[in-house]
Amino acid sequence: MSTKTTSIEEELFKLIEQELSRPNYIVEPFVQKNKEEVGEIILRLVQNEKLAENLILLSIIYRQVLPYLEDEHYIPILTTIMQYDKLDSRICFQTIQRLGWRATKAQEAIPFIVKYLGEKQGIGDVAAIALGEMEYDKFENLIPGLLSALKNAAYYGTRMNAARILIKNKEHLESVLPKLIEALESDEDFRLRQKIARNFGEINNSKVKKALLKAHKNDKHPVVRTVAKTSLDDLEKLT
Amino acid sequence: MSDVKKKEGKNKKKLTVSPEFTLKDDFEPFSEYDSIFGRVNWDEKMKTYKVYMYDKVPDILDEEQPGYTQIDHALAIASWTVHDYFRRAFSWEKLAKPNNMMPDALPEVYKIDEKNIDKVTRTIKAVTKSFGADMVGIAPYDKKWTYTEDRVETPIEMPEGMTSVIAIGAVMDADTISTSPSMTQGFASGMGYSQMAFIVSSLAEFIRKLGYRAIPTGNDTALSIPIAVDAGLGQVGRNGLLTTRDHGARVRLCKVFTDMPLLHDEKVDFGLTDYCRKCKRCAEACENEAISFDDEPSFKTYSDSNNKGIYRWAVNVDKCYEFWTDNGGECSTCISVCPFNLRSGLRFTDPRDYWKKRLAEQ
Repeated sequence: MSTKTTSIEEELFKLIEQELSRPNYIVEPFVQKNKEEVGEIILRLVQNEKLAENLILLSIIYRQVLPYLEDEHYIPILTTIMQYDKLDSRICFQTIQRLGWRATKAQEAIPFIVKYLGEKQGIGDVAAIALGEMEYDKFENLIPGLLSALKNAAYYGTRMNAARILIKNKEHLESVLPKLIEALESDEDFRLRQKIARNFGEINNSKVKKALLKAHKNDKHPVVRTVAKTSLDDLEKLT
Repeated sequence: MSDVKKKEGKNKKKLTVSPEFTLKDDFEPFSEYDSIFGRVNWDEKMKTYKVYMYDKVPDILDEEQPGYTQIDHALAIASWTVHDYFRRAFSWEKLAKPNNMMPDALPEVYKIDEKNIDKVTRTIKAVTKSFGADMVGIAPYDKKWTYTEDRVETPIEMPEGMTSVIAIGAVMDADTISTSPSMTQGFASGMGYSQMAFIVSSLAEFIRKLGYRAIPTGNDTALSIPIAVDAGLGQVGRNGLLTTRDHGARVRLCKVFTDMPLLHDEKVDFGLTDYCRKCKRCAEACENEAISFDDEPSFKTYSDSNNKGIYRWAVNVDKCYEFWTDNGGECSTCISVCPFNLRSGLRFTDPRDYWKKRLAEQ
């Protein structure tokens, strides 16, 4: 390791230590100036699985270091973390989510995410969504996880993402439509219902039209009713 | 990859979103006539042609739905009052004699030279903040950001001699923004606009009293976002908005053009483009999928309302506006979910809790 890298490493950990005692976002400007070296340092650091036990350090790395690294370090770092035997559920969730956001660029991580399909605490949900973003070639294997996320995820954003991925995949849309219609009719959050209603405006299908009519007439939220009407008008233009 | 190829790749000129803008040959200054609020009046191909933001409000108001009651709508609309009725705030000329005042004394031009320019610049910033601004930066005047025409196709001719633009940011209320997409959050936007009318008109009068020209503007006359970037207030995010390090995009922008000699600020780069590459929170949360999920920025555009030839993540503003019309008002969801907003703001507040908190304060 060069002297330069050693001094950067020392400085980085000094800043992280200061950040631990008083959060002030002082790590990120340093990372931006030394991306290449910091990327190498963190890549070496994550080789030690004991890092998984230091949740505070990991949270600073996730918030203030990783977002500024190039993919050549970013993706291998997250992929390495995914291979840990024991991983805190929140870190696991965040790692999968971030890899999903890199979509096809992070395909090397697919084998390590697949094993989390069906996992509890929302991890199976986010794994299915991430694999959908990454264009996993066995999409049919993701459908149970996506449907479960659509119905059961505690956070509305996760349910919304599951709906988005299901709608995006036109090949399997017919088979999942009843569940999407069910979500349009019964999800507790109007933001999810309006989003499904909006997307339905592009699906020229009698079941969809019926569901939109119902939403337009009966949904308890005015925005869902209005969006359903807009989508019905869109469908009218398609026919 | 071979070492040679790797080296070539690294030497390749990096395209940047901001603070340096990457422009292609087909870039042209933008016409406000093509903005979404211009096109809604004339573009028959637009899905929301002649559909205005509050048209559907009568069908949307619902006393049973938090954030969509008559109180919420009234609050949002009322907050625009100063902006909407004090139109002289954006006058290019000195305001006329006030009704209840003596005629103004006509002062000499305040002399600015190398010795006092730093102090004058700091004074301008201090005064702007005294008028209610939270952020102030000064950029050199750059003609390319000035609209060629306004919303109704009237050509815009900036007077000769303008040398600087004072870019101003007013931070919007975190509690209110966090209720997005409710009508309640429209209060934060409206307040921002009314504040901008007060700030720019007062600052323009201050500059005029010192003997210099000042053109106060809100969203009109020129693109506020690149000007704010040039003035060092922030960078452009995936959501297409000016994003600041401490408040994210929860900032309302306005600006004053002037020929007063002033020092210019440095642009800032806090790594936002790298951040946005890896974060798709705003795209996921967008109520109408108007924000790009693309991994990389590009020159892609969606409609005439996107200024062509600029490297960034263009926003599908037609879709964005479509949601506004179905929502009975603006939406700030992409602002509220941004991690940079969360450094000083809140992710989501149920409008019921918002009102509970407000009423408990009384």
